[in-house]
Amino acid sequence: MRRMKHPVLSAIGLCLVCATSFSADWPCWRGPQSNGISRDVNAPLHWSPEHGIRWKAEIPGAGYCCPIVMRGQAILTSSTGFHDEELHILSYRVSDGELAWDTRLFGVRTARSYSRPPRRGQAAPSIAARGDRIVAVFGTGEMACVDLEGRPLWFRSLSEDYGPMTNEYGFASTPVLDEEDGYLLVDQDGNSYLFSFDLETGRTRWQTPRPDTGDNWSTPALCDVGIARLLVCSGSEYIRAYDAETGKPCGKVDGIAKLCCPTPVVCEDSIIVTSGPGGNATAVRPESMLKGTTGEKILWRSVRGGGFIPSAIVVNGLYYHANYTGVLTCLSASTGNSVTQKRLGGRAYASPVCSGGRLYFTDLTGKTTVVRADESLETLAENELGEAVAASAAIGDGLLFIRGDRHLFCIEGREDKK
Amino acid sequence: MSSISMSDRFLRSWITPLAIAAVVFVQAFGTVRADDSSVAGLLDVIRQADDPAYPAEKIRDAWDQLIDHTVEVIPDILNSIDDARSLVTVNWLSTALDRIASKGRPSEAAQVAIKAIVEDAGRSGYARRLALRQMERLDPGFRAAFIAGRLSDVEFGAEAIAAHIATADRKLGEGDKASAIQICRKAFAESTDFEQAVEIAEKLQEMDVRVPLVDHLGLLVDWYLTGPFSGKGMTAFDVVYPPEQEVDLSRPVAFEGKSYQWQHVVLSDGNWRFDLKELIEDANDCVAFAYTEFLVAEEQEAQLCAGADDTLAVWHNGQPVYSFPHYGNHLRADRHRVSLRLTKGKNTLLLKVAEAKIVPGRVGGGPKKWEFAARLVNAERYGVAVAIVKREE
Repeated sequence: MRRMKHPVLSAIGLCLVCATSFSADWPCWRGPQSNGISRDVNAPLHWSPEHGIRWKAEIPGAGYCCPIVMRGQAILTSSTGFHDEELHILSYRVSDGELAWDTRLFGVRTARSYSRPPRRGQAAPSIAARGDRIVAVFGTGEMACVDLEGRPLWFRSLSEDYGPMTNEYGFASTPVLDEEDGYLLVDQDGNSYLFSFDLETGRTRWQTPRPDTGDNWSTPALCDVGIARLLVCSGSEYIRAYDAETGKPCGKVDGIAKLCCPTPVVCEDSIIVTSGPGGNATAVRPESMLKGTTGEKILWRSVRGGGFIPSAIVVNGLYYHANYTGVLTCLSASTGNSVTQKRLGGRAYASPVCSGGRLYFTDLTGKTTVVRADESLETLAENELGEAVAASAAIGDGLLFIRGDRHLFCIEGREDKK
Repeated sequence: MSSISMSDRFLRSWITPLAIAAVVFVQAFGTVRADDSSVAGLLDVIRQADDPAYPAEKIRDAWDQLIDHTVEVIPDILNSIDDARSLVTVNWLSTALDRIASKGRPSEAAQVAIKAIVEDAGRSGYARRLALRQMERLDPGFRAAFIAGRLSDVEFGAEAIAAHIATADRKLGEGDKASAIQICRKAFAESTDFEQAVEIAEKLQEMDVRVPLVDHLGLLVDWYLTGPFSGKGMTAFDVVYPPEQEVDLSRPVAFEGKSYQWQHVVLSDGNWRFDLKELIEDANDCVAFAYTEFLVAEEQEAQLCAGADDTLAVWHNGQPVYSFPHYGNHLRADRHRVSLRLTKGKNTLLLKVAEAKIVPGRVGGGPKKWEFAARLVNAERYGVAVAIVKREE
């Protein structure tokens, strides 16, 4: 058996796994706790293009991949070349922003897919690290696992293994790493699937087709329900859970929007799925996702909490979602009742992050609005960056890392404003 | 004496089984370094990555040994990429090459070999791109100069055309319209990429120069259209409409008590996009059909390159050849590529293009456009010469 089935042992195992990343790290999409909340409580509050930036480093090429922070390195991906066929895994030293290494791959040459600026290239998916292994995946279907010095441990080509990547707006789902395994959701018109791979070798453990599923960009959420570990996927008008051990489809809930980008949020007593455009936020009972398509699965549903691109975040029992037109909605995470709304400003692709009771929303112009994480939604700061931003921020080593269109910014904040 | 002999016997009794066990262990688990630590031997091991079942740790071990070598092995690695069947193998080799290249400059002989690989259009594109990366490192500026001269290069042609477009823009900015036109004409003649050809044609048109975009790209701009048929709640691909069974342009199509006319539309002035909302009706949850007949001089392989908002199905000479039933798309030219065997003489094409349903109250996204575009290209990706069958109207 690959995974401990007893909940207590499982919890101990998770603690051990967490211990493999340092407390100051941000090892994957949505951070160390997979919910957008940093363990650092003192992320910077004020900055501007001229002040509070420790360093900014040029990023070759394009990408939306959000940075991860591991053992003093800020790591992300990008793609270069006329056809975006040259793929990069890049590591910058947190201390001074120097490029530590650049592991370059080739990707299958694909037709140029639709993209609005900032430039997405073939590096829309974020990367993930577990211990000393970093797993990157690109829109071309290339996967690479490298160590913390950028040396390859294994490669894969999903287009060779499972057929061409056909997502018309570019593949964007991020690998999810568990104790010994990884998972990747590939939702695209014509050939969608979810698969699990061995983190050590990269080999497929199981692959489950997702028929009747089209283009989506969401990353699944891992959720423990009793002794089962589920992968909760959203897209194409339904939520579907899969047994992480076997890939077997479990419970299903209909009624969300066709197109899904946000990652589901796993709360204590619920899983909240955000979908859009024209969608909703749907909270389901975790235990109901074990099996079946009927029964009392839905806790609440709210069209006010729906939205297209950014993921939502839940802090202290409140659900926050800024849709990509810039309207921030706050709901009760337990009831779905509307608490308040606020216009933040511009359109956004980036998902919010949280540090020390403060929420950070970054819009496409690069402006980050810092909001108090409570019912007041008090604006604490508005910080310009001077560069377009599509990627979500990361918080590590007490610093904020924001990937702009052309630079990675390491933000330490302005002393005079602290 | 006796004690020596005793220990000798003792050693002999253990060494042989230990040696055998070591050999068995190595063969069974392969935990030692590659059998042949020569560059050729290491490359042989790495090329095993073509086989997904081959253990990654063995490849990694060979990779570790390979990167210990000097920059003189770069041509060997590039040659090895030619034989790679999998991109996984290419990436093992290319990452090793990048590590090795950071060690310094190779000898003149190695540089000559690397340059020869860049210039050889018969080599693997990946090997050539890696070699070009090395040449740029060794000789900054090499890349731009090399690319500029590769308009018809299968690997670098599109980049060369992009460079020509940039040069033409610069010339135009300097007021040298004649040079800009000359450069654009040259680039247009070699362009096979849809977007690049259209971009150049538009640039030339702004400079009062017309080029035969339709023939060059093989654009199909002469179609008979009919619709809008009900999309049946976006289930149009489960419904067989009359044109799918028979096309008779001489009479209207009867469907569910209604009559639908065929209308003849020929685009002109370089237009290539059939806007069905304008040409048929501003409808949603609906289906249209487009039909054309054309002659080709000889039997030949061709590719139908099409784009559609939202869905697309294709019949060639009455036979279904393609189906893409997914809604929620925008038109991207050349998105759908369908291989066809054109028959000598008359050929027919029928397209089925469905439009999504507007969901009341939905904010953002949703069906806004209903359109298609199509062209026929040959193996070299230039337009196929076709003669549209004219009908009396």
